[in-house]
Amino acid sequence: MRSIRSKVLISILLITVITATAITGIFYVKSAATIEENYISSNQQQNRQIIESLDQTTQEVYQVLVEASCDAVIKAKIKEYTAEKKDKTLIEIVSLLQNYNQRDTAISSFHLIIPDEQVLVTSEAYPKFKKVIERRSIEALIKETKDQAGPLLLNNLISGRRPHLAFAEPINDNGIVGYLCANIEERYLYYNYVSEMQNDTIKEVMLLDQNNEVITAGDDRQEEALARTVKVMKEKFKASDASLQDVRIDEETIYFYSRAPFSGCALYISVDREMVLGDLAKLRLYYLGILMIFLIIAGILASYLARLIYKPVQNLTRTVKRVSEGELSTRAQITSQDEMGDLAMEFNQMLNQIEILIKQLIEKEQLKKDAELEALQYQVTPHFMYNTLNSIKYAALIKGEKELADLIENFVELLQASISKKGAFLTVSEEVHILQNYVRLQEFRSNTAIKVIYEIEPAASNCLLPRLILQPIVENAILHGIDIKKGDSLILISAVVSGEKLEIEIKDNGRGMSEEQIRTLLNSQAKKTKGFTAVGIPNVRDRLALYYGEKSRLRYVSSDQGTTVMIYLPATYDEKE
Amino acid sequence: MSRRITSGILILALLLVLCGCKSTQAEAAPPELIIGVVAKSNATEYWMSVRSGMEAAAKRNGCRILFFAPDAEESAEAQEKLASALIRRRVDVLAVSPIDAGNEPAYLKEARKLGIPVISYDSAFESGEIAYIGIDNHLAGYQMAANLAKRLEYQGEIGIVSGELNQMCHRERVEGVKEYIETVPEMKITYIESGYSGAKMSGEKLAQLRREHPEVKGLVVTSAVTALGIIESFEAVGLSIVTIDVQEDVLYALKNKHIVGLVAQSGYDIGYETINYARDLKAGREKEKNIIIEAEFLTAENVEDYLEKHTQ
Repeated sequence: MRSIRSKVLISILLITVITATAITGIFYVKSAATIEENYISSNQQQNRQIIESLDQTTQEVYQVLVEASCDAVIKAKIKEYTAEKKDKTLIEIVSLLQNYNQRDTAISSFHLIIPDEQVLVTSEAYPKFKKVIERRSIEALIKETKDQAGPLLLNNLISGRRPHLAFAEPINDNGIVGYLCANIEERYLYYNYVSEMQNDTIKEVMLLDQNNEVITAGDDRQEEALARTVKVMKEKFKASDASLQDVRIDEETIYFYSRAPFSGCALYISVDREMVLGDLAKLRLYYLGILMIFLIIAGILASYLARLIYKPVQNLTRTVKRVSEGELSTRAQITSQDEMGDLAMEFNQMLNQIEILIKQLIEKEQLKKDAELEALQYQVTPHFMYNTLNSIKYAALIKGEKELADLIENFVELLQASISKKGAFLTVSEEVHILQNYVRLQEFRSNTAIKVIYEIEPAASNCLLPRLILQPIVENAILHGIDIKKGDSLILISAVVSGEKLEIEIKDNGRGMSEEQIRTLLNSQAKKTKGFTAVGIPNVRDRLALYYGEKSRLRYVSSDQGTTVMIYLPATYDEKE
Repeated sequence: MSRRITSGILILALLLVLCGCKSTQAEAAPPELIIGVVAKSNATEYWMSVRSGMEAAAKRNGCRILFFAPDAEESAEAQEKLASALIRRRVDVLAVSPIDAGNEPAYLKEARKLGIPVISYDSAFESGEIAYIGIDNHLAGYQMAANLAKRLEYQGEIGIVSGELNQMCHRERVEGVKEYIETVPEMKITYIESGYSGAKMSGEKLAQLRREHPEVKGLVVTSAVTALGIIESFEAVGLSIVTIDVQEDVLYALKNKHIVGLVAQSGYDIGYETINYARDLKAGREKEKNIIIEAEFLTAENVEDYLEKHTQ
């Protein structure tokens, strides 16, 4: 993780993996929910159709039953039997019931109970009737059917077989004279409404009566298993629930419950959720495959992108490293127009600037060295020269040539000042002393008195200035400015401290200089010349610039009345400043 | 740091919103309004159109109807049993077209006890306490008589062939006819033959009536099915017949001038309005007690327009 490239690569891959996984996960969850919702919706619709079809059948059965229970002929025959007790009458009733039985295929049989006579007449082929039905059985039937609408599970009073679904309707003829039941066989209901529901997806299916009692469960499962199913069903759905359609879902199973509005019969189905989402297992693999393909593509793309992003960074890094190793001429390659491109460009510009600065620094150092070397040239065998000159001075004194001895002393002092190693700076008073020696030597050389006036302010006399900075100017004034043959030639040297500045002025009343001469003098290159005055004005200019930079200034003002040279530099008293 | 936390929370919230859209529990369907309907019959075109109107309104309103009717319009006992069964079934509203309007059937008491609202349609209860949705049958009788009188130039004798007079609709129609005829001095009602509720009169009976009352030139028939039976008979020649109920064959009989006038009682409209009324009643929206549906009077002159309007 130390490389930016690996960071970028891992970041892209991480984002891709998280995004792709999240999208795939969400799609999977949503798909599962949609499949389940669609399954529930479709199943509810199917259940509703089945239960409505069943309800239509029960309505038709009930309609036939009501008509039969209102049949005047049947009522008359009941009355006749009650009066005469003839089997023939019962046979006639059987015939009438069979006619009604044929009206609807859902009706397996009619049972007419004449409670007062304890007789049961059927529409079946055998037995056509049964006498001496237990009174308690009849009473149980009356009790069960009273106040209850819709079909109920009633015990078969003839065969004693398991309960079947039946409607019961009283026959009124100035009071209840009988009860007529329209029976629907469990097998009829199973084959018409339940069997088609059974498939691999559906775990349990049951047809229930209005009290949630099982009419048919569709198979011959063990009673224990059926009891468990019924228990679960009763926990999930209450018979009194007003809703005609209901669905419950738990972790493993979806439970459907559809109730018929008229008969109150209900269809109960339980479905394994895993089976419903069976198709989703395939989809899951598909999603996983898609995810993997996308991740591989993302990996390749991420690698390419990381390289693309990293390339300029790598290029810049290498350039910086080479620069740090000293290859200042190296430049970063600009490969893009983005921020990295800008960075490389700025870096290159910075290198260019550094190169210029270094070049300037080298040039300055060279100049400084040249000046110092030039000064050193005067230190040739200084002791030998001092000793020799001192010997000459003492020889002159012995011979009584005091003036000559003084001149030699002046020259020695001037020579010492020029080649001394004691430091690059002198005080203004020291510099003036050198000037005085120099002027005396010039007077001796020319055999003429040179009038020089020194106006040094006490504050200025201790200020430091580069050694021999005034001598070349005074020399210039003596040699090229004033006419020493004339008696009125004058050189005025003044030094004042103004604020933080030392202002030195060397003024002569000589022939003056033209603008062109001043320009040439100030702009000419410092060069080595023979003689004591070889330092020259350009050297003065360069040394001022070297030591003080912009803080110093050398200015020439000239006219036919003379030349004034003004030097401005910071007023310092300590060499370290 | 806080920006990172905010971003993290936002992403988490987004994921939760996306994942949270899944419902883990299917919602139970809201209970439907179940309206029990008991008609007088389901055998004629009129009653079929009543049922069609009810089915259409039920579909539109999201209701469910349980429609029952005895085989014949005379079977009051069967009708009461069917109505009782629906009350025991705890329907939300019961709509009945009572065969026997005079007696208060047991199911009305039971309905009151259970708080189930009962309304009548097509034909009212005599007590007038039960809301009624249908045409003004008295006015219909009046209109039929007026039209027939005009045909007969306000003179002569007419007969009435009506359904069971214990049914309010037939009784009111007959009373409407009587009321009008009393206003025409030169006309009289020679006979009232009742008991033909949605049933055809036999040719023999008609021949007998023609023989016994040759001066009768016009008939008011209070049921279209009965009127259609009469005009099929040769014995009907020379009789001006007016009747009631919209059904296709009667409209064509009017167009072909086999009958002279028809009160256009639309079974479809009655059925439709009945279900709307039941829905509003159950929803607690106040309604007028009776909803009287307009019934146009059709003759050969305007039947084309009516057909055009209702078959578009």
